[in-house]
Amino acid sequence: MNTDPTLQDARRFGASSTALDVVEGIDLHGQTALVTGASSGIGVETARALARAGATVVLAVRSIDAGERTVEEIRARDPAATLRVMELDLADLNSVRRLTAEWSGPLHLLVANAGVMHVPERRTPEGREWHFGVNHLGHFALANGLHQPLAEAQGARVISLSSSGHGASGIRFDDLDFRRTPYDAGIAYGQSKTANVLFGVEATHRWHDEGITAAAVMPGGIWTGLQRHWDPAVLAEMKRRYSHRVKTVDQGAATSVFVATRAELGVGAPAYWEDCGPADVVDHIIDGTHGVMRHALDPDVAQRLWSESEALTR
Amino acid sequence: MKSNEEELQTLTADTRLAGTTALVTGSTSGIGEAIVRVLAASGAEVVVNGRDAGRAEAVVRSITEAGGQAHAVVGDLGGTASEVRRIAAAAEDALGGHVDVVVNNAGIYPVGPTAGLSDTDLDAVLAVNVRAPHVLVGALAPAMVERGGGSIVNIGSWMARVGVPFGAAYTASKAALEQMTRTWSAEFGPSGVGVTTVSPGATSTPGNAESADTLAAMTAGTVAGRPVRPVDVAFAVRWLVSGEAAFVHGSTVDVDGGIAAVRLA
Repeated sequence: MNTDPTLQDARRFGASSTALDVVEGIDLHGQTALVTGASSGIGVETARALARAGATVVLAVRSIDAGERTVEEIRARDPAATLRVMELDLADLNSVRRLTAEWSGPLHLLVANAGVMHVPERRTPEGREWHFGVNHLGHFALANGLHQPLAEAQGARVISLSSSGHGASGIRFDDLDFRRTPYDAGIAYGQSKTANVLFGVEATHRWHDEGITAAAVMPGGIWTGLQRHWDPAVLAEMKRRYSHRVKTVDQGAATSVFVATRAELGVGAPAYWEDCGPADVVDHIIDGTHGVMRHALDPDVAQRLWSESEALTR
Repeated sequence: MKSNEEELQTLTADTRLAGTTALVTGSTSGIGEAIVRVLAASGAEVVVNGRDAGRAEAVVRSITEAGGQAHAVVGDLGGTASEVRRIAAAAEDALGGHVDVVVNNAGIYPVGPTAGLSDTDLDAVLAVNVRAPHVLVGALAPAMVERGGGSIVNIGSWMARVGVPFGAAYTASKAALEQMTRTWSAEFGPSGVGVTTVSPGATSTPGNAESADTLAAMTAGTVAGRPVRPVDVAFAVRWLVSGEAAFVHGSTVDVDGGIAAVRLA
């Protein structure tokens, strides 16, 4: 019989657990968390759960107004929640630098939650493909800019929101920005979600000596504003088809919060989590939502992506 | 057949809309973007409108680089009625004081089980898809009537007349817009303003492999056998706002590959 408390915890939670279920009995007082994209969808529920457990939660969002509305909404149910809003536009590296320059004190949990999906072809001010720029490079620059505060926390975690969409593409090193090949929104999204996993692999490798570990999570099939570019009839049909196994946003936030507070992370630990547990390594994504593919876990690729990302965010 | 983007990049410039000014809402991507680019290629001076300044500037640039005239007016049609009126006024200013063509294209579609649609989403779909066109037309149509001419095109949906699961609020908003077309045609048509609806079918949009498969399956049984390209909708709009459609009033033009009218098997 295995008595490892972490494994026992793991068995208690699954696909239908909510973020608030996961933080039950967890005490995060004295810890600071930063959640990107915290003014909508899963981000709100992640911030809510971490605040419920006592963490000081910084909502890093594009619109201060939307952030303040989220603060009000969380405080309506949790009046004691300690929350702060900071402006962050992940498409704009100057905005990322402003936030990291302003930051003081240790950072215990960085939840790289914000993301864009299936956006028509578009580039960041630096000329990067939009998904790669926002989902990966923005968060890469943010985590690196906050490296010292993470180290100061002595046991910090970085959680990146990935997706089964990573199955659509590895890292296209010869054409990261779709300049030589025709743009495809599904592939662009997939590349960025693979990058989110590889980031965690390499961050753990580089920073575990300083107590910093990182991992990626797949929140589950959830309908959020991310599908706003789909044809309405297609969206309706997909919702009908998956109505029996779609998660709510508070279930979607559960794996982020689980990995932030309960999972065992480190060199050799699982780098990709789903349904509040480690994902199986698979050759093809199962059921459209489950499993992690090898191209997202390769340490050599992770190292190469890190170097390229450093060059692109310098 | 050319892809949407190939078609947009190889438009033949002409002058059939020279001297005409146009506001197209929600024109920073998709169908709206195709409409502004097609109208501009035919000589219209256009306002590109959307919520995202960067994206609006990118569309303006693609038009000016192709030799057209375009301005960006950033604004959220889901905002208050005064915010919508501000967009109308800003468009008028950008276009030299007169807006000859208004295309109500911006729309949102929070589809899903009826019981699960949030109050916020329900308010938003009514605000953007129904209230905003009403406020915009209220702000801009009187000047058209005074000048004795102009065009209003509302972008509807094939789903406005067919029941499909999960779309009650969205499809009702499109049915409302289609009905506003007929009413406005009665109100403004006799003064020389053409008011029409273009009703797209299932349209090719960015997505993942699975949504692309669903779109392909959904359109396989139509006459066209494939999804509508945004540019196909834009071509219909161009015809409707040109003098060639002077006898089209209150009509709905289906540009849907046959999805609404025809059953092959």
